[in-house]
Amino acid sequence: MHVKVLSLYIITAKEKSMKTEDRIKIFLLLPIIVWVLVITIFPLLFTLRLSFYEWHFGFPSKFSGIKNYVKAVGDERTLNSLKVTIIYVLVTIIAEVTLGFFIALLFNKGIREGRFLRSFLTLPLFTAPVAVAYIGMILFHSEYGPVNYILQKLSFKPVNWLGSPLYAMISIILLDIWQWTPFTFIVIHAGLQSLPLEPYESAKIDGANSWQLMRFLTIPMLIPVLITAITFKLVYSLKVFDLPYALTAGGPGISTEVFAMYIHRQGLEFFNLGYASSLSLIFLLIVMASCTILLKPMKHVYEIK
Amino acid sequence: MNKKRRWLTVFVVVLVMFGMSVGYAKDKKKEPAKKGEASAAKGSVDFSGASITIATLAGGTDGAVSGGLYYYRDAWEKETGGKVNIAEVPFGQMATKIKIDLITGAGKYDAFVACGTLYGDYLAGNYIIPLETYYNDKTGKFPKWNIDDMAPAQAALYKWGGKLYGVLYDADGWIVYGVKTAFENPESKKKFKAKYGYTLEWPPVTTDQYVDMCEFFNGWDWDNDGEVEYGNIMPLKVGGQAPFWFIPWLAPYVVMPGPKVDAFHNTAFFNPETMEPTINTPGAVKALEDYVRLYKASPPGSLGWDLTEGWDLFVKGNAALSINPGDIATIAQTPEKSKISGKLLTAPMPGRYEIWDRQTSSWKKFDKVVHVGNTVGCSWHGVISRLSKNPEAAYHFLSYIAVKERSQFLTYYGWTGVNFGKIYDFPPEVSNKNGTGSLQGYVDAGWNKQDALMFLGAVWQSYYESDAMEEFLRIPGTSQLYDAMDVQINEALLGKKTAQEALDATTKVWKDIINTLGLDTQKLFYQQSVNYGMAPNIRYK
Repeated sequence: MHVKVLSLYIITAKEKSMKTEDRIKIFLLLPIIVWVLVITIFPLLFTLRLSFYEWHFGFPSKFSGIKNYVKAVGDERTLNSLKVTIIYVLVTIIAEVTLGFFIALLFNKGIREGRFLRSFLTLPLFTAPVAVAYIGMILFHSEYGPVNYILQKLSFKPVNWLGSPLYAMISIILLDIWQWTPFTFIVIHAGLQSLPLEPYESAKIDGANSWQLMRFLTIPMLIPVLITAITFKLVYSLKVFDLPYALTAGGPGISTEVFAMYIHRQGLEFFNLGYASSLSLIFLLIVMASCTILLKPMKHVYEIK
Repeated sequence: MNKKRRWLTVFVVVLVMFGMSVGYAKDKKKEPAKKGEASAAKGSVDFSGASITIATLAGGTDGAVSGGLYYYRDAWEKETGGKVNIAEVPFGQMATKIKIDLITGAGKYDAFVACGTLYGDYLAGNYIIPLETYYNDKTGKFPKWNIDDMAPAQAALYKWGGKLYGVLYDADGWIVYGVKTAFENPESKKKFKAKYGYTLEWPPVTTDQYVDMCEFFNGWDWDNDGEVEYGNIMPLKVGGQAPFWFIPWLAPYVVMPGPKVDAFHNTAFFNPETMEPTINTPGAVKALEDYVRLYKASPPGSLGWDLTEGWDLFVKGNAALSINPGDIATIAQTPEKSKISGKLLTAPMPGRYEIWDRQTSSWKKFDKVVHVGNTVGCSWHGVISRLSKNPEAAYHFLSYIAVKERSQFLTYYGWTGVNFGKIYDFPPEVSNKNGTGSLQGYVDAGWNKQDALMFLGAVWQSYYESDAMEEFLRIPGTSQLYDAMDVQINEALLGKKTAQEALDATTKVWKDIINTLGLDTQKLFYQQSVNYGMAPNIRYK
């Protein structure tokens, strides 16, 4: 009897303790839940609602259904900004991952003053993109810039870096590569450092040369790390804004107007808030789709791991 | 860590600290170029406890637009007990910050010393207050200034629908600049005559002459300094103030003089009776075609330049001509920045013998050159937010600066960015004895006397002696209209579109903007902004 009462007491105490524990958990999680609701969920739902309205500064809002979405699909400038963004994303990712990979290989072989050089190489990462843009404005100035000065000294013609559509795009891409290659380098280098040595030893015993080691061991084992680096960079590059905004403001014309800049223009310069909301949501879908497409083939890689 | 690495680390740290301290020291050495003191004594109003915040252009404590506010802030605070916070905002973000403040009801700013193009947006939402109650106050509570001191075309920008909204400050308008080293070079004169068949002399009276001169001076060393110079300079970076270069250029091609503002006279952008855009008429197309020629006589990099880069290149003597606001004349007087002080040539914008007549859909020829004045630019000035909790204090501060003596001081001294448009800015020598300004005031402020005379004369002619005056576009959505035009003009300059295609594309976007915001509403706003049915804002000769 006493045992039963005791057991009952223990069970009740345990239940009470669990309920208290649950309450404590909820209480501790509450701030972050509120934060997520306020910062993420509410703005998302508000933006969704707003995308079905026309709302311009100084005028009352009015319901417009899917008009904003239809306009976006037919808007030449929307399509242009998407095109510019895709070009920017593809070129920068390919360049940065490739460069980052080769620099990581170099460091992996072991070089003198490697630690110091690694720290030095990562300095661009800590520079604000707007500051990078202003550095670019000086470097690429068509009249006074050091880049054209050096080109002329080497008997080349000066380049109209920021005044021509092609070279303005190249300028932005070069600056982005300068700033973000250290990121891919760090990620890939960490990946290289974590690769097991045994497969290499076995392969060497079997007579594999450097190229075969690279092709059949290093790269396949490094794929998850490469995908990680590409995914992070993809998300960042798709929503790039500050560098092109500060350097070229989307010009000349609209040749460097990326999608995020066009959304900003519509929303916060022209205050076409309904239309900007619809563009934002379209953009969100594009980013989500890109990440899903990128990560899906790798699902089995992670599962095997 | 080995010894070598330790020393290397120490070296890098010391280098960084040295660089920072040099930068800091340089900033400390730079004193504001203030001349004269703003004296103060405790006055009759008491704004103790009142704190006002004014949003304005980020020019710094001794820079354009904001500099004038900082200069008089301390004196006003001592005199009234109030407190002024000056919130500096970069040009590209000004409209955004102001509109967010208004649309959210935050009311962080009591007043905006901002671009005049925002009036339509302010008034669409009833966001600013008319000032008659304060302006007409007879108790002596507020400093007295006179809106009629402004040139009529400028004064019109401070009003809407007959009501006063703005407090006197800046007055922008574009004129033509040249450098003497180009025009007074005998070799230049000889070559020009041989090529064009008429004499090279200042000023370029017609747009054709201006284009000829720009093309002539482009691409050779006409000042024998060992460097190749340009004919023209225009900063054309999108998203900035590039439209302000095309708009005054457009005026003499399309603004038909007439006794009233009506469907066919005294407007450039829309038919005020139908709101049909008029930006793609054959007159406008011809203007853009000539504008493309001007771009080709400019540095190729100018499509990537903001206005200060263009100004810098011109005052360094790298181009023979440019169209610009009054800021160039003041910057040209600054020895640290300018190589053309004493060598400046100025004139009103060139005119034309023929203007596109929308009424007859043909070119109308005149016996004399028709000059069209302009008020292009921002004409920065203060308006009071309806959300202000201290509108009287805000008005008092702005009008404190607007009184004649202080306003005149700001105009004499170019670092303020406050440009010329009041009757007392113009000495009698340049204004047919109508002006009440002092040439000595400019000379004391560091102006070259000849530069000042010529420049002030050019501005006077533009405001007071033109045959017509170009309208100042400021309806709701003006920023979108300008952006659409800017982008298409860039396409034409890059050769991607013809002038007709570019302006047709602009027209299409403009129609969409007008229809989206409401055709009838926009028509009403436009008619109010251009004073439809009234005489144009000029004094006839």
